[in-house]
Amino acid sequence: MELGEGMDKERLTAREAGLVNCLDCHRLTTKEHGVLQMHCSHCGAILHLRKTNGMARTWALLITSLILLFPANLLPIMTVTYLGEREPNTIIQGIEHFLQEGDYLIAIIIFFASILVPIFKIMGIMLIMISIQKKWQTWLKHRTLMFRVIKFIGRWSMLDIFVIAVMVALVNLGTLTSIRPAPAATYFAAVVISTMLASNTFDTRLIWESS
Amino acid sequence: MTKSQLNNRSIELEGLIACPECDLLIRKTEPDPGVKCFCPRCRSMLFHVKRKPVETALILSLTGLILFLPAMVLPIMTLNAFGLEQSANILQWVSALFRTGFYMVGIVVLLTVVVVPLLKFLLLFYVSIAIRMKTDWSNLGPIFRFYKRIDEWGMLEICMLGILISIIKLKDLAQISYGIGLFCFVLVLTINLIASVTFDEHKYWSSIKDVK
Repeated sequence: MELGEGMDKERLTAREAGLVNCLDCHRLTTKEHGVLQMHCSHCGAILHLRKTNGMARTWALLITSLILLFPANLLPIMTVTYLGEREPNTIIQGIEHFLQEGDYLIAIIIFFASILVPIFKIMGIMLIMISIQKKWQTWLKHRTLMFRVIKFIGRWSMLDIFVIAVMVALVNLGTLTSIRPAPAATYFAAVVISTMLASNTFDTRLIWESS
Repeated sequence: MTKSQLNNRSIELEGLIACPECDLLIRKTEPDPGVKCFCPRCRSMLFHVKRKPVETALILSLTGLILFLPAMVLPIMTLNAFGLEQSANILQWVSALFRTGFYMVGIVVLLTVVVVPLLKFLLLFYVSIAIRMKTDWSNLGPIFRFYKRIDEWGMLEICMLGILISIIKLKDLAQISYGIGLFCFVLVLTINLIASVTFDEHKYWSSIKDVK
């Protein structure tokens, strides 16, 4: 079902009508001039016409995650000691290991969650932001949909962190056989957190306003 | 909604909503249960009306709270190799990460699989029971707002996939036996998923009274 069917072409946004939409409880409030900080009368949240410094904050978080992506992928993410033999593994080496074992499905899942999703997420949001700054008039609906998909799948990158948590706790059989986390684990967790924060600071309404 | 209509104030503010993703003003309707409403301009889902959402959430959050402790403290699985045995529950995952010096990773795991899911059950239970009992507690708005904001940081389902992948990874190295904690964890995860599917944000906000 679609709301507002049969409406004419003259569409009005909340901003144009002098209203502020509460992003938490979705109640509309009339914008008062000269008031520095407005609170939603329903849920008490601080009201903003648009998320504060949305573009700047999102750029900052995306650049941070782009920088962190390098140590996260290049450094070893865990150190496997098997029968006294120490072997540090990066994310890619872990995937290669699964391919050698013939676990193609697992290799594909980890490749998607740990490599493709973070890169596509950063590039995708950057593309949307550039499109806003270049004032593109087209693909409005598609860009909003793209952001929605990016936001939805972003959390799944955390997968590798949980795999490490399980293995480190279980494989701790003395000095001969153990699995320990390695520096990239911290960087990788930081990448996922900063991309998740970036999709929270971004305001999709800006896509519709640049036109 | 057109400019002329707004100027005439023919439609009151109460009868309007704005799309959170594209800011379009839309006339509010009261759809039947099971109906999804989308924004006509950007196609974002505005609301999805469910049957008896508060009662469902009340039952689910209570069940989740009961099963939560066993899921956290009972062993998830046990590893047997070279005559040695190692078992771990979820809290021991966190302590293992702390022991090896990876505090940030440990905190992330603690927050995403322990603290946030537990808080979500607690807050959902609190808000649901308050609405069901028709109380006029004024803190419901801020609490429900907090519930919605922490929602995406609960990662039980991702953690489950992580457990499955580690089982496949470890199966060649050693023999693995599954603990009762894993069973409880799967139950908690399932309850959490059902709770998010049957969740009706719109119903909650319309039942919560204003803070002022």
